[in-house]
Amino acid sequence: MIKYILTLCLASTLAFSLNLEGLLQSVKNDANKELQVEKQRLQEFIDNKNEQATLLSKSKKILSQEEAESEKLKKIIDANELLLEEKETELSTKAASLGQMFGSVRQSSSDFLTNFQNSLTASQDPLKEEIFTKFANSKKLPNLEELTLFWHSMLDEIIKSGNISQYETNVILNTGVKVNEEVTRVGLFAAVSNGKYLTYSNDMKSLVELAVQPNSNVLSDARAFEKSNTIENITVDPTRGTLFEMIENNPTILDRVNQGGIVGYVILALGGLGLLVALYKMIVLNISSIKIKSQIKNIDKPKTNNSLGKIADIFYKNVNDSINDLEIKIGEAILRETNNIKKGQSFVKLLAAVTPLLGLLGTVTGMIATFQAITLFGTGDPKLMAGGISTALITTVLGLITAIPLLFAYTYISSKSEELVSILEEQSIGLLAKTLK
Amino acid sequence: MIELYIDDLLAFFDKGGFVLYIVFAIAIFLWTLLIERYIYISFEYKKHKKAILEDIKNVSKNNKFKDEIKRYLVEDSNIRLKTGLDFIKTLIIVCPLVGLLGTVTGMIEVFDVMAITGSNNVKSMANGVSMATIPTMAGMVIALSGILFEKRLELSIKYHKQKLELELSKVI
Repeated sequence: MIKYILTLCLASTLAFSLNLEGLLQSVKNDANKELQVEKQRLQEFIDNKNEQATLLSKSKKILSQEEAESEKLKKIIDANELLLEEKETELSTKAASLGQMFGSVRQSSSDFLTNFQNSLTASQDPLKEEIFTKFANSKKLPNLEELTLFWHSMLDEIIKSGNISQYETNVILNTGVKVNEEVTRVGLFAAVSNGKYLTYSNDMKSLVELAVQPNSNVLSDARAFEKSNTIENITVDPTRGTLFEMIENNPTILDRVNQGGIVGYVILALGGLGLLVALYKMIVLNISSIKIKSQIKNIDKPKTNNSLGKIADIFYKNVNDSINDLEIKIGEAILRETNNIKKGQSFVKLLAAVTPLLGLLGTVTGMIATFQAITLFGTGDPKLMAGGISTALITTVLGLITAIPLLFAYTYISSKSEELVSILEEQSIGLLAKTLK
Repeated sequence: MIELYIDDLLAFFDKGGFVLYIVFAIAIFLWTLLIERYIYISFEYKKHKKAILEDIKNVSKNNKFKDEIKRYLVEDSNIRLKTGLDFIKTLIIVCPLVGLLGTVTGMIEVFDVMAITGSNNVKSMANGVSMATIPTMAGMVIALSGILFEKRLELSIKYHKQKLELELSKVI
């Protein structure tokens, strides 16, 4: 086996050595060929030497030409550079005033925006707010078209602020319901729908009914104004809504009474008591007056349900006595009836006298509170003193308000009872005697 | 010309506030009552007196109760003369009180304005000040004018009463 393999190796080595020799031969051949080509090229170079020199000189000439050209262009660039610089300064000076203009556009539009957001006209044209917002917030320069739009919007706003217009828009009622209603707007000063005043709320982007409306006179004026086509009276708020909002802070009558404090309540209680007593007395006196008047007409038939009747009864029973005895008996009866008539009268008078005094007491206690506030906080803030002062004033008012009707009531009672007493005292005997003839 | 005065008057009432209207109402009331009294004394009362003097002739001189009858007649006519006089007096007393009410409400107005605008704006307080002073003045004026005529009225009533008493004494 190995014999075969060795034989195969030998044979292949033989074959390979044969091939290598061939290769060497071919390499030698190739080297010779290349050498010849090189020689040929060298010869060629030597032949072309002159031609190279001319080419070189030509190239040098082109180079110098180009250099001259570049010099020329460099000069032009420098000149242009200068011109550019000049132009740039010119541009910057011109752009500076233009930039100022855009700045002022931005500022005036943001000013206008704040005014517009609080103005009643915003409810009529809510899209306009976007225009002003865009100008106020934009960083880039507006173009001519936008500037014209801005200008026209401002003019439109000025025109709208001077006219009266009716249009439909959203209104938020006091109940919180949003409805679409016809609104009448008077410039920037008042907006009315269904006889109620409205204010513009920028948060809601809609008109809102005022929580506290002005008094009914003003409201009925507004209602009439809404309905009519001619010019009518209407109350407007020249401060664009501030005064209408202040109505809310105005104290109501109940607030006022509460400001009076304890003294105020005492005055009111006494006044109420006095008026009740006075009313009771008035009714009683009027009833007995009616009875006495009817008794005067039928003086010869005494009834015992009234004072004069009782006296007449005594008179007729003792008519044959001497005049002195009769007068004593009648005098006794009159005294009894007079007491009845005059009862309670002095109480009303007392209250009429006491309530202004209590008012004065309230004034003084209020002033004491005020001066205490001054000692504690100084005179710097008038609002701190306001509490005491309002107590002082309100109690005075309450005192007067209760005293005046009580005074009238007392006058009525006293004159009525005076009349009745005079009928009993001065007239009874004369009246009765007249019937005897 | 008259319109000018009316405008002035309306402005005056506007300045005085609602208390001035009360004073005005009291003034009208007071003067109506005063004029009514004067008319009564000068016309109605004379008729009444004539009727009494006719009536008294029927009473005989030796009547047991003649003094009482005389007193009755005098008192009766006195009551007639005096009707409403107490009311007039009360109105006169009330006038300055209502004026005082005006003063106080005006002061409240001033302090309200002060609470809202602060104390540095004197002009805004002027409204309250005129509301305080005008009704007070008006109340005083009306009380003074009323008191003059009321006193005269009282005197003339007293005079008429005494005169009637004398005339009755002559008859009986």
